Amino acid sequence: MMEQKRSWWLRRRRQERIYGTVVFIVISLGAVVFMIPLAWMVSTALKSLPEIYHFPPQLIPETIVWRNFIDAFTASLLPFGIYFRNSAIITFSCMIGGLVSTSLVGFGFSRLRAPGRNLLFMLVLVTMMVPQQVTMIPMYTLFVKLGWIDTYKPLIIPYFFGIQAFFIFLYRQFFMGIPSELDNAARIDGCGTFGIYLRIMLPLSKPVLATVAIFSFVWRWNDFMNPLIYLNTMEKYTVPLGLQFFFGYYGQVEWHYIMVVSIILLLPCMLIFFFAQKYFIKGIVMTGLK
Amino acid sequence: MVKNKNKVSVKGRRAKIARKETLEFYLFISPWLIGFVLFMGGPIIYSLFLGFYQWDLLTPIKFVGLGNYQKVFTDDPLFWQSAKVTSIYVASVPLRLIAGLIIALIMNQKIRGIAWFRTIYYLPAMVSGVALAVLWMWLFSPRLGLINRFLRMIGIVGPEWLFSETWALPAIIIMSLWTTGSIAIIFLAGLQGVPASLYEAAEIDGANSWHKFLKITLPLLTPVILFNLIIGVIGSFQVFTQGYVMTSGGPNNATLFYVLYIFRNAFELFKMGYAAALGLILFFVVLICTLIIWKSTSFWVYYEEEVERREK
Amino acid sequence: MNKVKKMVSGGLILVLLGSMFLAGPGVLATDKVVLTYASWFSGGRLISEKALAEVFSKKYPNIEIKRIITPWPQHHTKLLTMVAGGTAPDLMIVDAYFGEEFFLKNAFMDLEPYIDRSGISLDLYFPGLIQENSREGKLYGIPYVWGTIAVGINRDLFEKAGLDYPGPDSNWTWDDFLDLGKKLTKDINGDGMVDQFGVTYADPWSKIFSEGGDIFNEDYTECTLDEPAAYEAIQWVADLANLYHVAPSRAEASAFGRLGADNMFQAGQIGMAMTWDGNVLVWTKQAKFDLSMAPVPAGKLGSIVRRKGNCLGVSSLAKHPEEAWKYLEFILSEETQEMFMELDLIPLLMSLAKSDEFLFREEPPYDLSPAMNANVRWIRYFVGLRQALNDGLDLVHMGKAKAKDVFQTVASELDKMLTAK
Repeated sequence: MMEQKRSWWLRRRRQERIYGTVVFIVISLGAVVFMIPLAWMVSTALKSLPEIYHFPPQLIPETIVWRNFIDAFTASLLPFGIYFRNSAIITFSCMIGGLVSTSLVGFGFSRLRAPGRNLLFMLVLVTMMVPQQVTMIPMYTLFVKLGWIDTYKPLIIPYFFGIQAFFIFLYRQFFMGIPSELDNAARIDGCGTFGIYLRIMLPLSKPVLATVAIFSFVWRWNDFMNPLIYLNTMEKYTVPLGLQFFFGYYGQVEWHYIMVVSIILLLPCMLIFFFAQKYFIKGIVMTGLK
Repeated sequence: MVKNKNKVSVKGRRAKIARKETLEFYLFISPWLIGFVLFMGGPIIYSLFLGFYQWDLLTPIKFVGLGNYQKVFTDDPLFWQSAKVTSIYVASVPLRLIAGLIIALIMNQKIRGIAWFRTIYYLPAMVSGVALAVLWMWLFSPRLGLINRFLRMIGIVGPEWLFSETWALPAIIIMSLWTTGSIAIIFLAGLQGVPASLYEAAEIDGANSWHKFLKITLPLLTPVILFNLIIGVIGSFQVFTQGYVMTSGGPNNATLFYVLYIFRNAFELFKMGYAAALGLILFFVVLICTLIIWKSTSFWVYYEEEVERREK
Repeated sequence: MNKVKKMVSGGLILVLLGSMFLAGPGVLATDKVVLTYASWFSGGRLISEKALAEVFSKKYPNIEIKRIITPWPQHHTKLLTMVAGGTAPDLMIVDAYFGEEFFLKNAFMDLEPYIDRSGISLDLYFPGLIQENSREGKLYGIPYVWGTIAVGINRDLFEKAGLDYPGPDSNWTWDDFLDLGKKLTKDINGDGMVDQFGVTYADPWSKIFSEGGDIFNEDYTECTLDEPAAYEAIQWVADLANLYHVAPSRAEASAFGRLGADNMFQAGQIGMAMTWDGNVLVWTKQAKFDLSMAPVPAGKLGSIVRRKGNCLGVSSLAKHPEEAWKYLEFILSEETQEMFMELDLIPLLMSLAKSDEFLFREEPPYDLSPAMNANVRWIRYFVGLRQALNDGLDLVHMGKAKAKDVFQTVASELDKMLTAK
């Protein structure tokens, strides 16, 4: 009997090892294929303009122009240093605002019963259904009346008021998946509703918090439409908006600089993702149940 | 006598709790409520009613009642064309969900260096919109691009992609599959929520990977699938940048996305009222689709908490 | 009592701070006038603009110019949003493609009274451009940045092929253009794919003009693209790529989008580029080959070339129209026009733009007279025209249909649009 079990386990472990290796190979191949477009970004970023148009195109540039990484930010005479600072200020503010406000609202929709709840939640979803192109001008007019044009206020303040319906929806779904026994146990211990939110829901929803942090960062960081509409002073612009200037009036598009800036834009996103990744580790979610 | 008193106080207590819960509810959602009233509500309502006016952005608005809507339905072939284009793109949402799920499963593997792999698979979703469009315009370039070069190597003459009426939209759909990292991340968060104990129990019963996936993973993932489905549909109805930057709606309006058509009417043809009318139509279509999906959830979505409550 | 006082004063301070926070920049009275000026000028052009503004503020110390600079692709969207949202700038520049709507809706202030007052003689400036910005006796703006179609010549490729390139005074015809194109198209490495093309493109409108056709008739009541002079010219241009293969097809040229062929020219893969003179000037900075300019080839009526401008004017909703006009007056003045030459901008004053000093130079493109001295015509764009024309061209270039049939439909569409106006 013991012999059978041992050989079963040995076979299992060998299966697992083979499975693991196969998986590793498949994922690596997939990653390589996935990276090809990005490799092309890097390749273009390191070429000189004439070489970019060369046919047939080479992945590895004939002459690697490392200087592009400096020239991209200086040749256009745009104050990219300031732009990065501006982007950071706006993005981090929105991230904090989004994390706080949408989790509160999502909690409300998931746990608390009240008349009109479903209707209001539909309304939340509705705000995602109206195309930005149509609401752009009325929103602009609103901010004109508030005197917020050419400031960061329209870019930041709404995010402290749960404007990102996407995240409210996400939190709601996630919170609804957390068993209510935990709530009841906490209440018996004398915990109030806000306490449940703070001490039970939030800690258990680390994967969602990480997700919201990542998405919030990436979307605000890359957004150029809102800064375009609301900002007038060039020194207040953000990096993605500055990037648009590379599409010149007379067909001189500086592809290499565009790629350089895009790659640099990627780096903080990658950092945030790396940092937030560990919250995806299995097991955190289900602590406290057993 | 004493009995009656107890009955009343129990009911009264329940009502008090309900009132307290209502108050708490409104307190918790107050940020959104205030935000809606202050920032979103006005513009949304305004945009929806603007469809009954004519506005060239330079002179005051003019009331035209149903004039815009009449024109949309009787005299605008581009309306139908753009509706068709966007509908096809929306129909490809399941493709994106499947791609996202596959990537999420990859991201969920416990192998060495998974952190790096996760970053690689999510990276495309972090590339800024314009750079993305430019990059894929290059990849799809019939003469210079990598895709056709690769096809040439295996003996196929690739199509003209963004310059072909039949292949332009598929090209954009293929591109959308590369950036499904966002969908994957959300699936990943959901996958993390499946208790390992369930898998272990299944293994002991002799279930193989496919069984585990079908009977455990998928059902428990249904709330997340619902989320990605609704978000995917709402988002796909509003696809814009790719059409604007990569093809300008061409060739021959093969990629004239509905929202691109709205944008054109608003900012290139000076017909803001007409654009708003188109917007209202889109809004209703999206709303109806979302409601249909929402109503269907009782058939296929499994909320652990709800099931527990029912079982009690 | 103290506590209450503290609370009240604290509350008042909060209210004050809050209102300042919400109200935005303070409204302090000064006699400085701030002109808002919306444009897309960035990079090198912005430096020139700032230099001009510096001279301007020396002349008018109480006027300050605040620039609102939007990237070119989004400029008009932002401008329209500003106007619609109630924050129209004082000075604004609008591309000719959109200008008509601005003119029709009186979004620009009529400058005629100001011109009369100032005694400026508009004949001294490029006539076509002035016309482009006028309607029914009203002048809506000055032509500020504009382009004329010309041909960029890659002299190195011509020399390599042992051919004579057309000079700035050349009288060459469209047939010569095609002929040279054929001679310059080569498959250098023999892999069956052409590596070097003869031409990038031909401007169909310039060809139509030179063959006696036009887009519209004299009084703008009918579209004349369904006439042979017009559609044959369009077909000829498309045939350059599809039939004669001396130009890359749209698909072949697409490296990074619709300007693909121009990019190939910049890379030294094409012999002749028919494009805006502004492009040629910009390319000389980066080109690794010898680049010069040639006039657009001649048709039956000689060489007639398309010119297109932009309208720099004063918004009718401007807060400071007088001061805004002063800036325009300053731009039009002779001293400023001479500054244009120093700043490497194309002067608006004909006498300067056609002067030897401006036309001839030691470095590429050596001679600008093909553009400056060209016999020009401009297209009066209205809303929807550009889209309709481009859609029609696309169909012909894709080889899907013949220009004759496509433009039959386009012409009737445009007729409808004209009658609707």
